[in-house]
Amino acid sequence: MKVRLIGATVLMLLLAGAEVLHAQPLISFESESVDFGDVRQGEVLEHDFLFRNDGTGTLVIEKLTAS
Amino acid sequence: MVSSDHIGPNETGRIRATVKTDGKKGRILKTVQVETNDPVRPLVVLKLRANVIDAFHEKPLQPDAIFRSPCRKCHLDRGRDQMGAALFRADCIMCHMRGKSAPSISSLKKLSRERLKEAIEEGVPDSMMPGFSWRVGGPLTEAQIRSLLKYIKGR
Repeated sequence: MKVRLIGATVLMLLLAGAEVLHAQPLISFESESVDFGDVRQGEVLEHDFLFRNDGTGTLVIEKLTAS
Repeated sequence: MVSSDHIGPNETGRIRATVKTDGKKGRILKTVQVETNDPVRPLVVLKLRANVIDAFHEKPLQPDAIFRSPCRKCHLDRGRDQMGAALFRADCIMCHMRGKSAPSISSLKKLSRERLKEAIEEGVPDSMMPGFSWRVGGPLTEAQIRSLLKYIKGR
C-alpha cells in the first residue's frame, strides 16, 4: 500500500515536471513575406509583421537582424 | 522594431520593418531574421520585396543637374562639410564605384594629380562629370577638393 502511494506520488511529480518542461512557445506569423509591388525610388517602405504566440510558454524575441 | 520582446501564450506582437529605396533600382529583397526561444522554429526569416522604379535616371540630364533639386538630395547634400574619404563616400561613390558608369577609384588613382584636379574642379567634357569647384558653380571648396585628391591619390 505504502509502496503504491509513493509510486503514485512519484508518477504525479514526474507528470507535473513534464508539463512544466512541455511549456513551449510557438511563434506563428500572420504572414512571413510582403511584396510592395512597383514603388518609386526614394520612397521609404514600412510593414508590420504580426505574430502570435500559439504555445504554452513565454516567447522571447532574442535577436533581430536586418539585411 | 519589435513591440515587446516577451510574448505570453496567446499574446500577439508585431515587428516593424522599413526599407529605404534611395539609389535602388529594379527588384529588391530585404530580409529580417527573427531569432526566438521557440524550440521548433528558432529562426524565422521575414522577406520584403519591391520593384523600384527609378524615375530619376530615366532621361539623360545635364551633368550639373545633380547640384539641383531633386538630384542633390542623394548626389550633393550628404557631402556638405565633409572631407576626404567621407566626402568621397557621400558625393562621388554612387558613380565612381566598380560596375558603375564612371571610372572606379583605382582607375582615378592612376591619373596624374593635375589631371584629376582639373576633372574634379572643371568637370570632364562629353561625360556626365560636372565641375565640382565653387568657382564654376559647383558645391565644393578648394579645401574639400584638396582633401579628395589626397584621399584618392593616397589609397
